[in-house]
Amino acid sequence: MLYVYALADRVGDISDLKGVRGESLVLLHVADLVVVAGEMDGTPALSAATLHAQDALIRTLHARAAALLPMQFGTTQPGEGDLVRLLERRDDLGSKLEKVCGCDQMTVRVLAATQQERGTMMPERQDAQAPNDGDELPGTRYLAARRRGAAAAPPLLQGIAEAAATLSRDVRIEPAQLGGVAGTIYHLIERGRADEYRRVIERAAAAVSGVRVVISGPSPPYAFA
Amino acid sequence: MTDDEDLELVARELRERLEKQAAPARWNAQPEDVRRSVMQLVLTLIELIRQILERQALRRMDQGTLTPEEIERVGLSLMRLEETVKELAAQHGLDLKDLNLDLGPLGKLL
Amino acid sequence: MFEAPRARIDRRAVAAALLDSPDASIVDIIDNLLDKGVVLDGEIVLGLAEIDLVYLRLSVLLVAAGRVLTSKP
Repeated sequence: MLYVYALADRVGDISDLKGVRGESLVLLHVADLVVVAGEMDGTPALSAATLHAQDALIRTLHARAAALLPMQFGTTQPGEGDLVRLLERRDDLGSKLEKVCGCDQMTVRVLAATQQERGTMMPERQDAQAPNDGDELPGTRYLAARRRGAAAAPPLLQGIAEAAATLSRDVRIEPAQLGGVAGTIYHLIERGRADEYRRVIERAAAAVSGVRVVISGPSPPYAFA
Repeated sequence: MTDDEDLELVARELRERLEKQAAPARWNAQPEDVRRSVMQLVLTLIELIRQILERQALRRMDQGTLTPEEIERVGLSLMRLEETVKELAAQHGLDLKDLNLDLGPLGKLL
Repeated sequence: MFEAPRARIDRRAVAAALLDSPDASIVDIIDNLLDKGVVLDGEIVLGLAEIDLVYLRLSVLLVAAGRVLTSKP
């Protein structure tokens, strides 16, 4: 069984690296991608140790590659043939890899600033409704609204995220599932600009009353994979 | 608030997110209410297909590979399909969230 | 040879336990490794009266029509 760690444009010589079970790594070439995997008998146990190990390995690979897409933990395929067939069916991986090239992910968790504010920060519901343009045909209007709905995010998060718009190549916003947390913003920034990013986000958050931000990164671009 | 409290809060929110995300799509019909369960499954699968079609339609809209007529036809069909699913669900006492499946790269249905 | 579907439910339990007494790094690691990253296939388990009968892996069913059909002249 193959345990798949990541897809990359290239990773160079990885003979010095080991997988989360101490296994040697294999490199597979599929179309323009390189796949980094390990041969295993079963899925590795989910534990803090394994997670840390996989996180460390992905970071190392990310440092050696120009473009890398990490797999979710526990991604396995019975064999090389299955893996290749699956990858060949995907038409999105090439462009995703291009997009993350030379970039890191920064993560911003937006929280209520005080206990009192916690009480008022409720999970927001996403609504795909959008105002009618009136002129558009109904079916077209419906699709346009769905597309907007897919991109809509609560204004608080959107506002903070916008602050890094010129610094970032892409953004993902996840409204929270729990009160007290507004949500999480993931930005894709060019490597080396993390400090600049932190300043910009902290300044934006300071301008909003009642919120704190917890910024982490840079990390490999999991949220853009 | 201290950093520890921030951490607690963030960890709890993440747990909540994982709870909502990680369930493998599982459908189990109990003998007593097979009909309702079957309808639930059918609607779930229709909703799944509707979402896949919608996603593909939006992607092709963005790529510019649909003519305005095609956009209108696809939009109308998807709109009617959504209404049908909602109506059928309501008729069988099902909420949209009863149709929730998590299918990895195909996304969550809700 | 499939990865057992139950593995996903166990993941939630382990993640919940890890997040119960969190250290700062584990939150990001869990978020990235368990909630993000490329997912190669989806799965459905169909059952009757709590007995799992059918396990479907959707990856084998899906292909984008644009790739299968020839483009317009």
